[in-house]
Amino acid sequence: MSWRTVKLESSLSPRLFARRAFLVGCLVCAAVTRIDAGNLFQTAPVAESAPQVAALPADYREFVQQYVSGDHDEALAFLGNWNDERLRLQIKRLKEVVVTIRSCAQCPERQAFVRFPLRAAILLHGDREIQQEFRPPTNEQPPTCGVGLSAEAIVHLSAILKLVDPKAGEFLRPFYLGMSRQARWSHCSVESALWARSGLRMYPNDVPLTMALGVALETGAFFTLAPSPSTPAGGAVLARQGAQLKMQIHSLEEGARQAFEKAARADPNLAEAKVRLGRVQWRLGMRDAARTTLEASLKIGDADSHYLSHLFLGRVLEEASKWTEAETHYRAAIALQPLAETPFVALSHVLFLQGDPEGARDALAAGLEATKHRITYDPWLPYLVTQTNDGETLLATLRRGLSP
Amino acid sequence: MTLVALALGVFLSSTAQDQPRTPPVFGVEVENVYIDAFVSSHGVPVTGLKATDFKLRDNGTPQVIELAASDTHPLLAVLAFDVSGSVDRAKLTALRAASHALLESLRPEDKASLFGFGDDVSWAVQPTTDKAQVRQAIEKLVSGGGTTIMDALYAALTLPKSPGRSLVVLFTDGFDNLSWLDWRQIRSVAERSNAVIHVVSLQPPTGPKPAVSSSDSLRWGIYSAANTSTLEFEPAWALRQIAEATGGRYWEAESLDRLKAAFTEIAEAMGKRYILRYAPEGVTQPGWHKVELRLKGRKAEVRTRAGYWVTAKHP
Repeated sequence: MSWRTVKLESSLSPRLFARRAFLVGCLVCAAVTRIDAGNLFQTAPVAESAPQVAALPADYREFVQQYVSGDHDEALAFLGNWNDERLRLQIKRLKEVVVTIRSCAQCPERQAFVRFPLRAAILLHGDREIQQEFRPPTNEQPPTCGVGLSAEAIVHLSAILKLVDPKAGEFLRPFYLGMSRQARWSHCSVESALWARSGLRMYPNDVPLTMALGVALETGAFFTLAPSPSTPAGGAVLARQGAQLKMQIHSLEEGARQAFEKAARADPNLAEAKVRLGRVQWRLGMRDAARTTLEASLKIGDADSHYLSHLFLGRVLEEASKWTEAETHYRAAIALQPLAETPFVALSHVLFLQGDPEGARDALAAGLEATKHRITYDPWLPYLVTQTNDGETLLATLRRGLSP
Repeated sequence: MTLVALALGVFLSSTAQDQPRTPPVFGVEVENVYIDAFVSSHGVPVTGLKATDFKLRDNGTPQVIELAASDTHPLLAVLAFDVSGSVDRAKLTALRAASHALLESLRPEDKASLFGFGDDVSWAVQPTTDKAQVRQAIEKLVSGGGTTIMDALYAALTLPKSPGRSLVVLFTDGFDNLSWLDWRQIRSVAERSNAVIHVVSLQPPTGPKPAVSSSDSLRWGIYSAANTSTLEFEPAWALRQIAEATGGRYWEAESLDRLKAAFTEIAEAMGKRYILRYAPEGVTQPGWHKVELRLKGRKAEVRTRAGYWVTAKHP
């Protein structure tokens, strides 16, 4: 594969990227401070007698309304025709609205936004963000990722929604989760983490968002190339860069560990949290903790999570030179996924370590033969490189919920 | 005489499971060690050397060596080709042409085997002297999926049975993203094999192109491309380590044109290797045996495996 090897040709300069990332992170935090419980959200068209959303241009209101009606592509095309300057002006207005609404519960602006289809506007900007900033790689080519102006618009629209709609969370939680997963599916790990973090700033204890953040960090660590273990020939500068890169990977894994630990604490029956926690603990060198966590994960969850737990437990034990115990777990993984190649490779290697080259050869040959008949994914394959766009599934559900 | 030191053999010891153990060692008893070496000067193969032109140390102890005729040792060429999604039509076409050049260089008695790897590793052709069968299988390779370099190398080292010399040529255009095994495990297996591994990487992972960029979402925004242009990353370094541990090489083919040249050079180098034989003296201890091979009185690059493993004798 080559998409880990080639730098992205992002349309954003590093500075702009950093600025937007900062904005997405900080503005949500700054804007959303309290919720007004007095108004119910409605997606109905703006009533003639209702106060108009003066901050929003007429054409904007129009194409958001089109989005509500189900003309998603058309609305997206209209928004796409807006240049950056216009969009920036819109963002500025929205930012002012957040300040106004927050300070004045009875202002006409607030009433106007109660009736304005904010959810549709957020979804529309979300679609624009996906269209512009997440370009899923094809055939392992490098992804093109970033954070665009629509993300900034979403931050303010979300803040307004949270201020005017007590049920905002029913929409915003899955929306941010959907965006995070969309980014992950597009191999945009940074953006995946940013969207999850943005959601978590509003809903700090949301377990799916916590998991999304952990997965983004775990994946990011995997796709950050480690420097070679040898001392670089280039001297102190390169050595420092290598050390920084190693620290970066470690901090990503540590961030993932904290997220999974938090999720597992919040929902002790969430098997994925324990499986992933066990893996990152192993990656961080916490072998005993990893073993305990993975063994605990075998008491909950389904066959796929048990399969991964057995694989990871096998690896932890193999590294501790407990080869016969590792073999037991690899065989358990094979029993759960008899057509997956991975556990056969793992079993073969541990047999090799035990001095059984014939057994190693037979196990590997059996695995290569078995996988020819596989019709479903080996759960190990999408563990780090997701194969399904469940983010889009979430967003599609939200879109369907807009129907008048 | 037996080719025992470099062949996978029988593991003879067992220890308490709860204690961390050193990797097992293979082989039964070292009667003769065969060392496969390639000598070049300024990139040009040096031929016509005699046993007396070499000096060899086994764990630091000088050994008496003799040359074995290479034609008495048929070669097994194991091709392991990356057919992940990034290997597009142009790359596949170039790979086919390059591999045909390599197959043509094999002698009738030499065997070839083929693996393809994407999401999984597939053993397309088992060892055969029928090169046409291998060519046909190469023509049928279809790309798609992720990349399992380490698992493929493991399969290439483990599955084909070779009583003698084995050449593994692994082609890839990028990095591993799906293997279960890691480079440390593969290096350990490679050290215990009798294979010479060559890795041909179409997109070299070192150099400015793949360097960390702050606009790259996978790099988490720390570095710019400029200041990491010479920082070598672990995946390329690891493949280099594995290849060099066996006396092989890591080739960076910077273009499709260079691919064929790399394969041709590998084939030529295999034809011009020296097979040195010695009965170890004064170095009977089990474990890792470091091999140092040099030329007497002249400067040249000598490529050979870093060493070999010997097991303890069974009581």
